[in-house]
Amino acid sequence: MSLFEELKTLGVDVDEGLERVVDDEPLYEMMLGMFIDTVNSNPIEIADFDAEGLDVLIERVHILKGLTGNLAMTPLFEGYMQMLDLLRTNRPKEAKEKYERICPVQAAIMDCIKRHMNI
Amino acid sequence: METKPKCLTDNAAADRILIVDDDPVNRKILGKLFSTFYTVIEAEDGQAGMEQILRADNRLCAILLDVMMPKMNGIEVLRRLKDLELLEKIPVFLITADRSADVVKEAYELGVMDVISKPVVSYIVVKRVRAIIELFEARKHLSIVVENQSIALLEQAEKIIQLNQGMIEALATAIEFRNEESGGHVQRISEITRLILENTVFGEGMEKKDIDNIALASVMHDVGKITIPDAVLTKPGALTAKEYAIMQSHTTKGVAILESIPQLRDSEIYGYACDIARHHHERWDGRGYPDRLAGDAISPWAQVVSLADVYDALNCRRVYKPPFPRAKVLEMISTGQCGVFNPLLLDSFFSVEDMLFELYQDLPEAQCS
Repeated sequence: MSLFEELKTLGVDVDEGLERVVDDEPLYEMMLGMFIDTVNSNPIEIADFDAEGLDVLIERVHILKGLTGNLAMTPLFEGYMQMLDLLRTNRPKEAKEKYERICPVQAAIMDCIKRHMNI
Repeated sequence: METKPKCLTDNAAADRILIVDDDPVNRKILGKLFSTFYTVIEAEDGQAGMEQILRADNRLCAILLDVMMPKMNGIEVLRRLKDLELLEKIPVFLITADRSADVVKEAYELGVMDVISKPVVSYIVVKRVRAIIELFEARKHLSIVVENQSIALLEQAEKIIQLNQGMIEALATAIEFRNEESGGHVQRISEITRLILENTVFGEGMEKKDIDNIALASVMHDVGKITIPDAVLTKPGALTAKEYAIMQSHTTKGVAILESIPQLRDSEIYGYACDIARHHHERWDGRGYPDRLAGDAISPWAQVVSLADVYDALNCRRVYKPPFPRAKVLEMISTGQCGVFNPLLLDSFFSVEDMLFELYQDLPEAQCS
């Protein structure tokens, strides 16, 4: 199964993502690689939701929301969007529950990308 | 304080689009969408964006602006662009995931062209941005056309004004020649009038435009002489009482001539020209003609032209007299031998007489001494 086919099985709307870059597949693939880098450079830990200040966490969720939206990673985008709303209204516990729910999906998508792109 | 770069206000074609976004993926996507149509420039935060906007060689046709950015956010960039009055010249689009009512409202109030949601939908963002850019370019083109047409019209109007002035001066000069004067009299009257009004207290409170109009109107002060028979106008000896009355009528007939020119009636010089033509032989003591006006009842411009006329006549050869030496001219004027003038006007005249006398330095018909 190709990278794009496998991503589709994980809920990624590859067609929408490709349309966003005028069907430029190499560019879309490059952006998938940037997704791996961005997740690694914006690590989110479960413990972050229990910390005093939420500013850094909000900033990281904001970045990941934007990126997953651009890549049409629908389950992650919707999850991060809801998390961001919850964090901005100071509801970190509910945001943590959301994050725990999307973590396995994100891990699967990252694994798929890494395998296919030899990262 | 940023200064407005000339490139953003001139007429050169703008073909660059600036993407200001801290997210490299957003920049890549937007760059991909617009690189087919424009040269794409990127900035990774608001501050870098402002630097690009203010660069002299960036001719921007649009700015795509994120809201949440480090160093300077998109709303702050908008505020600065508004202060620099650049939002009227470059369309700015807010490309944002933050659709909160406050942000959107402030952005529109500041002058943003459109607010486009992220993640973008390619065909929507391209269509909306390009439509506005084309509208701006069309508007700019139209304003250039209008500006060029205005310049052409102004040039045309200026030519017509010059032509009119030339015709007025030609008419006045023709009258002078008939009067067997030198041909430079009316130009000197105009120049003396201007010099006194521009350089002395007598012209205080007058605007340059008024002085220009008075100087031009003074050229027509003797237009009525065209109606005076040669036998009277060029008679070398003393005039009889009847001949003198005929000669005096050049003032009222001059006004009648000016009134008969419809185009002149719409001109700013018309009022001055009629007043000067009629009253340039009035005297401060009320013993002049045709209305025997006295003192301030005589307009300042008629008074100045009257003195200029006398000064020029004394300095130059006439059919009935030789030119007088400078000292004699000044003595005759100061002692009232050739008319009674407003004391303030006389003071003003003497304060600039050195300057006025330069007009006669190389004049063959004047005796310079």
